[in-house]
Order: sequence, then structure tokens, then C-alpha cells
Amino acid sequence: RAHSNPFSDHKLEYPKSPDSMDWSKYYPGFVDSETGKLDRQVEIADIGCGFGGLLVDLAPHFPDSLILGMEIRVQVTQYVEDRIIALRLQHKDTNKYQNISVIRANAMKFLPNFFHKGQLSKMFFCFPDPHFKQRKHKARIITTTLLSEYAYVLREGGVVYTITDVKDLHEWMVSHLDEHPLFERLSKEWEDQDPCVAIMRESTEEGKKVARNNGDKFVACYRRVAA
Amino acid sequence: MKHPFQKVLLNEKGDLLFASAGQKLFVFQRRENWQLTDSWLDTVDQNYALIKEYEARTRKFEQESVAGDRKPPKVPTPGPGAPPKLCYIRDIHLSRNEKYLILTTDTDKAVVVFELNDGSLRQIKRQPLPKRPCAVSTSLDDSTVVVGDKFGDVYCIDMLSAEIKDEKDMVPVLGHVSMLTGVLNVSDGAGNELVVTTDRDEHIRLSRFPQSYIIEKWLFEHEEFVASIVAPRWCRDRVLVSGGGDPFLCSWRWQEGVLADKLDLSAAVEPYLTEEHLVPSRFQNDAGDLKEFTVSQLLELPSQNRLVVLFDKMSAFLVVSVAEDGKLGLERTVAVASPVICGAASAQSLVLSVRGAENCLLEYTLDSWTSVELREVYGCNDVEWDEKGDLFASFSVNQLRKRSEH
Repeated sequence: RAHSNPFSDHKLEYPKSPDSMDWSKYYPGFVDSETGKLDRQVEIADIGCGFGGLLVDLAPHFPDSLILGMEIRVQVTQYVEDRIIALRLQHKDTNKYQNISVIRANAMKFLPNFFHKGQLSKMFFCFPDPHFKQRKHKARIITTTLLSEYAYVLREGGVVYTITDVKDLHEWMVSHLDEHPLFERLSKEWEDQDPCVAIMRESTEEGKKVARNNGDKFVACYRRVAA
Repeated sequence: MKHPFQKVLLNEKGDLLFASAGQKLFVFQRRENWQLTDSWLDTVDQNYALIKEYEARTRKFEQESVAGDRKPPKVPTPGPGAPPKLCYIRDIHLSRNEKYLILTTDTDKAVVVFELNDGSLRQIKRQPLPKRPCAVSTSLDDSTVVVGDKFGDVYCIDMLSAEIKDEKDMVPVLGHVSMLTGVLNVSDGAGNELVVTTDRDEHIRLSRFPQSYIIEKWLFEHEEFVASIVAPRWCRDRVLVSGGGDPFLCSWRWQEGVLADKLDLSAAVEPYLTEEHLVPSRFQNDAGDLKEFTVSQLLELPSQNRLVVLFDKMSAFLVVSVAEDGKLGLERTVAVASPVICGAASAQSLVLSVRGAENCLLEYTLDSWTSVELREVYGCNDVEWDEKGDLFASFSVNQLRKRSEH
């Protein structure tokens, strides 16, 4: 399935609060042997990570940071999980890919259940569902009201990355981010020198599909500013 | 059969009583007895949404059609099998200065503001919203109505200006991706205002106000929907108490973001659980005896530093003390002759709308917890109910419970 209704009550597991989340099974390579808990927190989130292309390409660039993909579709999440397990096995001598993981979650409803205030440094929104119909616009992942929740989990100076091949959606995301007092657009020059932007353009499955069809890709990045 | 009062409200002094039955609101003033001083009927057509849609289509047709090459749009009408539409005055709310009465309607999904003058109402404005409003608060300075809707969005409406916005032009000031169940403006005691919003997905969110895009914190402990939240005024801006689908109440020292206390109500409530509290068969256990209960309303009794806790479809209520540090204590259980629909409290008394043969109102004296029937009040209720179906099901908050099929 290509879509999932973000408003329905799926049988979803989510922690009661960020403190009650047990991350150890997601990042076994970063478990402190004394406490049994992770020695660091998740810092980078890919919201709607799809088939995990971005996670896999980000992993070697941020070997010391924990990166989490959040995906609402069960089978897709399962696929990414298998993919990561296979990669970890393949690279077990070098301990690569221990820093990426995936979780099935409805980020639009439960993001604050997973992350503390200011926990994240980067959030990615790559090729989100465009929800073309006017009356479906509230289902879009970037809205003025949801941006307040993203601003809550992002630290000051943290970055929201967006990319889409749908011009109308790009303009929508830009206008909502522009409107939000806690976000400030980063320049074209900044985008050109940022490694994540390059990875985001090239690595996701959607991105590759768009490239094959010679489609456009629209990028917009915003910095979380102080209140 | 008379339609019961689905919502009641008292002013702080306890000499004004507001009660709504169906689409009608009644205002009573206490002199010797309770006397009806005013009433208001929501006369907007129940098919408001359909009519609006038809008008929009007609307008579009008239603008676009050239010399009768297309048929004019049809009048949308509900089919013969359509269920009866239940339209209510859902919420009645007093501004903090008690000069204004705010209510919400189902017909046009509006917030209606009245000026109150010695028990009579003068309508100031009626602002329709895009989705059905379900939670109301006012800003601390009473300049703004803060209203949450079933879609999870919260809007600010200028209380006094006569200006009405087109519902399409209304921009939410904050939103949850969940049904909102409560909105409450609070002060932190240091000159800052916050807005507390609660939802069906167990969340309690605290945002600054009016800069509601700045979220201060979330309060996590509930495992089911939150139905009611209050900031007991004797706790001097420090404590919130919340309840809903969970068998416990939570109290919070919200400024520190910590749970102050948790009070399990199961034992106190157990003797009052009936067939009506059985979990639906699809989610029932093998023995078929699994029951659940829901806190429907928390009412402040500021003269006693206590809360009255009402439950869905229950013939009893609880009285719970709240200390200044948020410590909760079960004080007593009071049995009621019939299931409680809703209630209101003032400094002196507690009024409950209950579901008797005559759908009556009871007024309790706070110290003795004895009650009298307010016959003169429900005698004034001229709203009849003759539809089929379970009238009371529509007042139940237990339906907010999430049930998973898988």
C-alpha cells in the first residue's frame, strides 16, 4: 500500500512517555554494558522513512549519532528492519550500521511520546505523501500546527530537511515553514555545502525514481531558531 | 418524554443556573426559588451544512454556466433511511468575569457569545467553525474565546468584536492530530499565560498563550483518553487534575512537569458498576464480566478544597480532596438514585442532571450531601424527546475509548 490514514487508530505501539521508551533493542551496539541502557540518545529522525535508503546512506556519515526511521506502514517497516539486520550482519567485523534503526509509528500523533524536548538535531521529510485534495491537507506531514511539535523535539540550531517532486507540495511546505516563528529558511549556499542535502537528493528510493523519470526535486531546509 | 438537561452550569455565587436540553438553553435565577429568567433556542436548520453546500454549488453554477448548457445543481437531501440528526447545545461556558456566556452549537458548528445582564441574554456574536467545536476556554483577560474542535484544531475568537470570519478563513492557533477533549487557559502565577490542551490520545499539552506555537511541555501518565482537566484555584496556579478513560485521577505540579499524585478510583466505584459498564462483547473476556468506567467530569468545590468526580452512566459520585501540593485523597462516595448525566458546582452547592423517569435535576448541600429535586427548574423544560434510539448514548464519553480490532 502506498498510503496510510494518519488519523485512524491503528494498533500502534508507542511509549507512554520518552522516559519509558526502551531503545536498547533498536541499537544493541550502543548499549552500555553496566546500565543496560543506551549510552546516547537518538539524534536524527527520518519521518516517513519509506524503504530506508536515506538511513542507509546517512549511517556512515554520522557514525557516532543514532539515526531513527519512522514509518507508519507495517510491511515497509518490516522490510527496512530486515534490510538493517542484513547490513549489520554483512558488516559485523566493522560494526557498521549499528547506528540506524526503524520503528513503526505514527509520527503525526505520537512524536512527543518518543522524543524529549530538544532531543533531535535533524529531521528529514523526504518525498512525503502529497495528499492532493484540499480537504486532505490536514493529513500533510508539514502543517503550521504540527511544526510546533517538530520545533519542540528539535534543539535550537537543529534543521528540518524537506524534499519533494511535487511543486505544489513544496510551495505548501515552504509557506507553512516560512509562517512559523520558530523556523528560518537556510540559503541556497547552505544547501549546496550541506552533505545531508546531497544524500537526500540521491539516496532515497523515491529520489532515484524521480531522477530516472527526469523529474524535478524541490529542496527546502529550515533552522530551528530560539523562541 | 422530556429531553433531559445534557449540560448544566452554575455561576460562582450559585444564584444563576444555566441548563441546556437539546437545542434550547434555559437561564434560572435563584430568588426565593429558582425562576426562569430567559431562554434561547438554536433555530439554525439542522441541515445547515447541506444547505451551505447547495448554496456554494448554485453560486458556482451561476458563475460558470453559459446559456443553460448544464443542469442546475440538485438540492442535497438526506435519504429516507438516514438516521435522525441529533443537534445539541454541547458546551456552556462562563467568562471569568461572568459577564458573558459562551455556548457551542451542533447545527452550524458555531461559538455563540451572549452578554449576561441580570439573568437575561443578549447575543453578541455567532461564529461558525469549520469543524464541530468540543472544548471551550477563555483567555485570562476574557478578551478571547479559545475553542477546540473534533479535528484537533484550536481557534481564537475575539469575544466582543462583532466581526464574523468566514469559516474557511479561520486559522488554527495550535493543533493536535487527535480529537480534542479539553482546552484550559492557566496562569503560572508569574505573569505568564499558558493554554492546556487534552486529547483522545492520552496527551496533555502545555503551550504558551497567545504564542501557542511554543510548546512548553507534555504531561505523560494517562493510558486512555483524557476527558476532563481542571486547575483547582485553591492550589494557586500550581496544580492540574485530570481524569478520563483510566481508572485513576492524575494530579500534576505542571510547572515542574511532574506527576504529583495518582489516585486509583476502582475500589470506590466498584459497587456502582452495572450492566451498562460491561465492555462490548467483541472485546469482552471469556467470563463476560469485564467492566470499565470513565471519569466524565471534574467539578471544583473551592469552598471545600475538593473536587466532585462524575462518571459515565453511574449512580454515584466521588468527593476528592486536593492539597496545595497536589496530593489527592478520597473523601467520600455519594450514591445517587439514578445515573448522573452531568453536573455543575458553585461555592455553595452542587447541581446534577440525572436520568430518572422524569429527567430531573438534583441540588446537593455540600456539607450534608443531601439533595432536593429542583422540580421548578425541570418543570420549565419544554423540550420533548420522541425519537427512536438511545438518547443517553449521545452524552456518553466512554465512546472515546480506543478499541483495536487486531
